Amino acid sequence: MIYEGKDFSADVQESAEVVVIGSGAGGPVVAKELAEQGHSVVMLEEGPKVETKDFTPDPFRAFRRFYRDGGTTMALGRPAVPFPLGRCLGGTTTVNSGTCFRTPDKILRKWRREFGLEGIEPEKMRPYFERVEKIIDANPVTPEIMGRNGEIVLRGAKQLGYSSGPLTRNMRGCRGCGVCTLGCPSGGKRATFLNYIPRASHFGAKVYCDLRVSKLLVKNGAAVGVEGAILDRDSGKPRLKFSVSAKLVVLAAGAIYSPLLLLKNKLANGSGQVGRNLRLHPGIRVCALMDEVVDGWRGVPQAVFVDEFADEGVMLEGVFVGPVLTGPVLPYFGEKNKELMFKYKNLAAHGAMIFDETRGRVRLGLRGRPLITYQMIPEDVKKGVKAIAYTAEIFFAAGAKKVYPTVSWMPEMTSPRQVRELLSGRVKGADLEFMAFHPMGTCRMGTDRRDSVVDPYGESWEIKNLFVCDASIFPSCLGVNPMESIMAFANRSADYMQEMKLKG
Amino acid sequence: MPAGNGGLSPRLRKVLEDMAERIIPSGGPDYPGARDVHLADQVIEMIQSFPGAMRGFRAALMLWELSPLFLSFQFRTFSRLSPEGQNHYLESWEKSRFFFRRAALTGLKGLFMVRFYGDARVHEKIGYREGCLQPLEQVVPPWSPEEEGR
Ligand SMILES: Cc1cc2nc3c(=O)[nH]c(=O)nc-3n(C[C@H](O)[C@H](O)[C@H](O)COP(=O)(O)OP(=O)(O)OC[C@H]3O[C@@H](n4cnc5c(N)ncnc54)[C@H](O)[C@@H]3O)c2cc1C
Ligand code: SF4
Repeated sequence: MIYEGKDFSADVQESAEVVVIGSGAGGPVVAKELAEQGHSVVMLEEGPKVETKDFTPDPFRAFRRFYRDGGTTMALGRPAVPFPLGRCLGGTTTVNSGTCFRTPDKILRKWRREFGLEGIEPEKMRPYFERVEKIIDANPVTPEIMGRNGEIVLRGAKQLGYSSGPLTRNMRGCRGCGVCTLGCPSGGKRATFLNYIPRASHFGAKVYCDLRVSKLLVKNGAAVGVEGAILDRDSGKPRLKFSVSAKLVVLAAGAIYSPLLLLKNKLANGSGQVGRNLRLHPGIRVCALMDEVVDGWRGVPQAVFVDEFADEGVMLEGVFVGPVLTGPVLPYFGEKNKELMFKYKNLAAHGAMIFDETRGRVRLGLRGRPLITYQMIPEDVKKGVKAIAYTAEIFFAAGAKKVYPTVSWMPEMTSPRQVRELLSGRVKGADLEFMAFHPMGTCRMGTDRRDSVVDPYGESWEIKNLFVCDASIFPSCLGVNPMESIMAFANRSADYMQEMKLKG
Repeated sequence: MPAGNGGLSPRLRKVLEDMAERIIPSGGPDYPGARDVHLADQVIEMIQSFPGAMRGFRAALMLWELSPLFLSFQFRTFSRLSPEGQNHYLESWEKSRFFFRRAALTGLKGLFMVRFYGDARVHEKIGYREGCLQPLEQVVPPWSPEEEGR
């Protein structure tokens, strides 16, 4: 059953074996797996309930309704890095691009080697990935829905002999309508509100929307429940109180709000690592003016990848976005910007993310809000420059007339010669415009309680029965989009809870 | 639809209109611009939809109006500058060596463009049509227990 704040006119008290905070990528997996085993589960989501019919292609409306703070979350630094977060049923999976990758074997081995994490070897994790992929309908993008923007990038990459291909996405019946990040209006993108959450609900889990958890309850060193407020949907203000007592508390509020809750409650931070080690996979975006008509908004917006440069810490992946989001990132203002926008049909766009070594931090800021800092290290800036250069090179190889690299002193490129100029030039972080979509790492798992927040199964070292099951737990960046990894690790934690905490 | 002035004085209203017109200038009938789509009204309407935001917006406009006095050597407020002067002033933000000034200009572009490029009249001119590559038949429903047997 899925409840909304408006369903209640008095304070609510619940009790269950498991309470899950957050309904994004991690929370629903735990809720479904444990409910299916016959356990009573309550899942709490601060954002509104959503259904496919709520989605329209109006970006302003979508950002207001389905994103936290209208999509304005930002990490402060030079450069500042904006990174939007979902805030609705399904969390960020509802508004993401739907790209699915397993955690690369290389990363799993690195975690074994550098962090001593056992039991996560590629062959041990494989069944979890397979299980998740089946439930979320992971399928490769087919030519029918790829769109010309993706075709152009593949053409350029092929011309240069770069390893590339169509992405795998959680989708069934995708129509290639190009608005995944505003919420999929056809149900083709299988966000968790379309698979894990209905399954959890079918197995008896109760899902509450419009409920913000503010307090984690602890007794004799063990988590025993949560408290918070039922919010008024329009004003966002607390309206009523609720509490849930439970045997297990699962924190899955994402890599910013999970550490924030721990910091607010002054819990689980003996290692001093809560909120630290924030990684973002900062991304850049490059547009190109083509002779051919691209109509880039038709087709899957994030359809293809180029992984030729993964060893250099650069992964090229979509995204083409609507005119509202394209105009501001194109150079210039006034007549020049307008002229460019009137060639929108001929614009192609692609992005790239870097495997960051920078460590940002989430702190408790004013009025209980997160203060997020991320000062990019020079090595990562260099990767950003490479990411722009490789993307530009691909566009030129595909026949671009001009390329717009979002470098402050190079608003446009007219020949591949400038790609080399960029690579050999002195570029500062503040010369680039980054954006990010994958915050992670702020409650990292490890084998040493002195430098990690949770153990290899996501349980807090200090507070018994308190688990973290979201993007916070990764001890380094993944180098691929995180959703599937979050789900697979959450599934693994749920198995552990079942075996070690709930059985019998 | 015009949303009223949202409590903007005539002077602040002019600041807003001038900014909109510099960022997306109006041209001939085939080239709509800020004025053609009543962009200032649309922006006011958008700000008003965030409870309590109009006050901060008014303050920000006033700051912008006064900013040329201390950020450039033209001893005039923004609304008193000629259109060319306003363009030069915006250019000084675009080309600034300070990241935050450049980022602020991107933000300003975003503020106006979210309405302008969300406008159906503009979509028509730039050839943007929300369009699927595959026919929109039925919506794919959420998981249901019957699906397990499929
Ligand atoms: C535009 C965009 C595109 C993306 N594209 C991809 C992609 O293609 N592939 C991919 O793998 N990843 C993608 N991502 C990232 C991916 O979606 C996230 O990494 C993933 O969803 C994170 O899962 P999570 O469970 O950690 O947190 P989230 O999915 O963010 O869920 C956390 C939930 O907790 C809720 N919450 C927070 N605090 C509280 C509280 N106090 N009480 C109650 N509820 C609370 C939030 O409202 C939210 O719904 C994208 C992200 C964005 C923004
Ligand atoms: S492209 Fe596919 S997944 Fe994205 S919004 Fe359209 S139908 Fe949904």
